[in-house]
Amino acid sequence: MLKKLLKYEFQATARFFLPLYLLLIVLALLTRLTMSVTFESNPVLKNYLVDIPSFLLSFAYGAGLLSIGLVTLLLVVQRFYKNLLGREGYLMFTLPVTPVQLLWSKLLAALVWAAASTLAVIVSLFVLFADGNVFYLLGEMFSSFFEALAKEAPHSWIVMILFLAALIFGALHAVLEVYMAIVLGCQARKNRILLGIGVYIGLSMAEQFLMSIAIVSMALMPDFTMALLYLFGFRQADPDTIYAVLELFLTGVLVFELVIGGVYYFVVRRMLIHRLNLE
Amino acid sequence: MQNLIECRDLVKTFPGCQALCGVNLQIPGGRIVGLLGPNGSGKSTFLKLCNGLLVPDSGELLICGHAPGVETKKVISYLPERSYLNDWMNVRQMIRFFEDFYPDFETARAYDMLARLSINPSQRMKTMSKGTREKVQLILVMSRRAQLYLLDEPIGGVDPAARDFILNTIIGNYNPEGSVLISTHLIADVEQVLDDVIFINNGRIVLCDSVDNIRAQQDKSVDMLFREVFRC
Repeated sequence: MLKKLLKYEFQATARFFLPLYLLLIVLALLTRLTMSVTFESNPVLKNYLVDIPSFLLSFAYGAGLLSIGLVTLLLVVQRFYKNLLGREGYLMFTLPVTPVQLLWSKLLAALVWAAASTLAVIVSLFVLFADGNVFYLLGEMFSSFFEALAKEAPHSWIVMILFLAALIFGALHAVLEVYMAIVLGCQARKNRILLGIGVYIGLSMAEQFLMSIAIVSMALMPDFTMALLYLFGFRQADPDTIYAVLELFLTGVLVFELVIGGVYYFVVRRMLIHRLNLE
Repeated sequence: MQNLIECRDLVKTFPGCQALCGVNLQIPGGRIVGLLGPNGSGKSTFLKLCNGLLVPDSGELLICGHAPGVETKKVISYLPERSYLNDWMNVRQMIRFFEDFYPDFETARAYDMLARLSINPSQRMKTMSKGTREKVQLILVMSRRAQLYLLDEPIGGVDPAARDFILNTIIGNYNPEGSVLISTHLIADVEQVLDDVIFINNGRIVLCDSVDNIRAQQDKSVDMLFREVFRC
């Protein structure tokens, strides 16, 4: 059933994202074209035919970049708020699926679209700037990266995996934080959105506070300061210490994401099962 | 035969009001039952509890022997009071959606009913009038071969001619082994199709009887009895 839910979730969201991605890439392409045209022989024509369109197009491209971010955020909010907690909730919560499946269908779709939006931005940047030189440099970068990865195994792999896990769980945590604010906001009869925004700000402040405590306590560990000195080249590098501290730091981040994200997950799940307050 | 709905001492409170106070009820199969009561009497709350949209504070509620959950959602076809379909879909997409999630959905019957009402399956929900949207919702709900149809105010917002269509659709399409529970305060309009009635007021069941009994013993129509019981 989760598969079916995901199918409809992607159907409902793809109609916004796909045209937007296409638009961004077309804008990038046009901007690049106008930038590559030279019309030096006639300064007046150059102004009208190249400079003005080029300026407008790069402005539109910038707006496109901004709107991809905004649309991703808005749809994460809207699909959860409107489709589950608004009047469409009467349809979704009476389907023969569990509330947990509904929650995961929204979560997974949000994660996939966040990744896809990032990818679309990267592709559009390539369209805009990439030439042989850029590809060559990137190739160099990747090959030295993989070389280092192979040379310093298994530490390098552990760091990589920890980093990826922290990234994925960080994204899940970010989406769940939005859901948590919405679910709590919807417990009110009036001013649901306002309350939701208030809850979100409160949660973010509480997280910031926790995070600063965690960072300060880490910085107090002598090894950590040492590793920072190594990293910034003030001392001769000792890879083992650097890796140990990196692993510790990333594990700390991962645990933070898991614990906070886990708390949000269980609260949201509980609210959807026991305290569903449909309009 | 097992009762389709069985509830004991069902209690549901909201902040500042007790929506249901100790409801006891059994609804067997094969009946069309009217859940009748004034506004705010607890009708919608009861239907939401049956659908698992709300969780009772105390008491027991069983649908076909199960507590509300995935199993009961498979056998209940629910028409909420408000429009609840996805605005951006057209009727055909909505039918495919129902088909996908409910194995008991009969597509041919849905298209047949749409054709009789000359509703275009390519029309989007968003562009429909309120009345048409309500008809489409009812068609989707009644195209299932469900055990239990829970219809919340199905004739609330439509004109008298459409009311006839809705009632005919209900009696012409429900699964005869199943039961239909219609909640409404428009008694005169539904009275003709009901087998049993349940009067509910301030979260309590006031009366639960068959329409034949009421007519025979009290020599009154359900509408007259309702006006007597709920006189302001």
